[in-house]
Amino acid sequence: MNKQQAREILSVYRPGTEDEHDPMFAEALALARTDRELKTWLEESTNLDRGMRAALARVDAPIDLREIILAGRKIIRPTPWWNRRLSGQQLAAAAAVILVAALSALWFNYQPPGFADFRREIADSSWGPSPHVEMPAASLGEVKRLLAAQHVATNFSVPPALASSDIHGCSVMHWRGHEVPVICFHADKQHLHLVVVDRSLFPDAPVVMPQTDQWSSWRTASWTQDDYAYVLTGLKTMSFVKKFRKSRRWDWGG
Amino acid sequence: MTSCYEPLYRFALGLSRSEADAADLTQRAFERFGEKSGALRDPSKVKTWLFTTLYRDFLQQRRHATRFPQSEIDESIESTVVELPKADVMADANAAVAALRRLEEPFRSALILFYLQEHSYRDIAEILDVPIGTVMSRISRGKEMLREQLVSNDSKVAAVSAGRGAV
Repeated sequence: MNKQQAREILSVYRPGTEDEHDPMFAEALALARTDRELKTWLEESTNLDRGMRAALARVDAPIDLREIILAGRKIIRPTPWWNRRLSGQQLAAAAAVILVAALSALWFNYQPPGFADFRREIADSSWGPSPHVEMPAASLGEVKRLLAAQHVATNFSVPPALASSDIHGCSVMHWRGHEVPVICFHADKQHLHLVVVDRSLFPDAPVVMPQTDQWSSWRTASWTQDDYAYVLTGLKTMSFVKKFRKSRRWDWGG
Repeated sequence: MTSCYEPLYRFALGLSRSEADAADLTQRAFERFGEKSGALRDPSKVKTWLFTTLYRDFLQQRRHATRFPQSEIDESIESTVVELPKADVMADANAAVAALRRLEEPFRSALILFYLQEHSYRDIAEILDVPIGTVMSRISRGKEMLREQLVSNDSKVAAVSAGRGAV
């Protein structure tokens, strides 16, 4: 083994770990004990590593993150049916339920899409077309004028944190026969879409308080106000919403 | 969770561009763990699974971000350019993270996992989905780049100090 080979091996050596007993490092370490130049290089290298490790170890996670994660984990998960032991009566009841369900499925062939379906489909497709802003605009007023020209209702309201953000423009999307305006924002260094939809289409839309969801990489926050349901979507929707909720610049309406 | 979430957040912070992104990545990794934990047979693999999930999520987000570029510059990173301490006294955690963040991605993730010392090289290879040899070479090359960056930065600090001294 020459010095260069020893350096390459020792550059991934972590003193104080299982690496000390790894035969891969043994020969290179032996060489470093006898070669002054290599020894100095190894000391510098491990000094840098020690400093970086110590610095990384000092990075603290946000205080509330643990609580948020734990709160998110509080989900009641029923035991899957295939893990349960069923009695004969239960099996008969289950068979009856399946039969009724199958008949119901045949009878009610069509189930109207719920708000969750809308939210996911629209979050995904709003980012699809490129360019996705059909009508560039610099203000909310301009957006409403452009939407009105397309015969789309414009008496919706936008939370103050969004209304004061940079607006790129808007598009009108078509979702299962309904025209849905989508407003494109650049807010708090993030690219966000606000989708507005007639509330009467979705009796199951969240009432006032925001409901969050994730679809692929897109995150959504949804709420309702007056006659409309709103879906805010982007890669970092929640961090944006959280920030403005803390600063009280986010009005969920109601 | 207690033993995992701090290192997981540190990994996320090194990969992503902001604390909010890192918190989101960490939270999502645990959310997915909540959804999939029943399928994990080996409890000793939980930590590696969380890191792997977080890393894949980060890569997926990065692909989306490339598709829809955002003019997002993390001022906290820029502001630390001339504040990095000398390589042998890397005392400032923010500066360390900033230095790691400036590395190109294939080297960055390998080097952060190396410094976190939470995983064996075999686990790191599994998280990054590359052979162990590739992990080794990425760490080695990453450290060279990091050292070059720190040396160059020390020179800048020295130049700034000399400039101030002359005035």
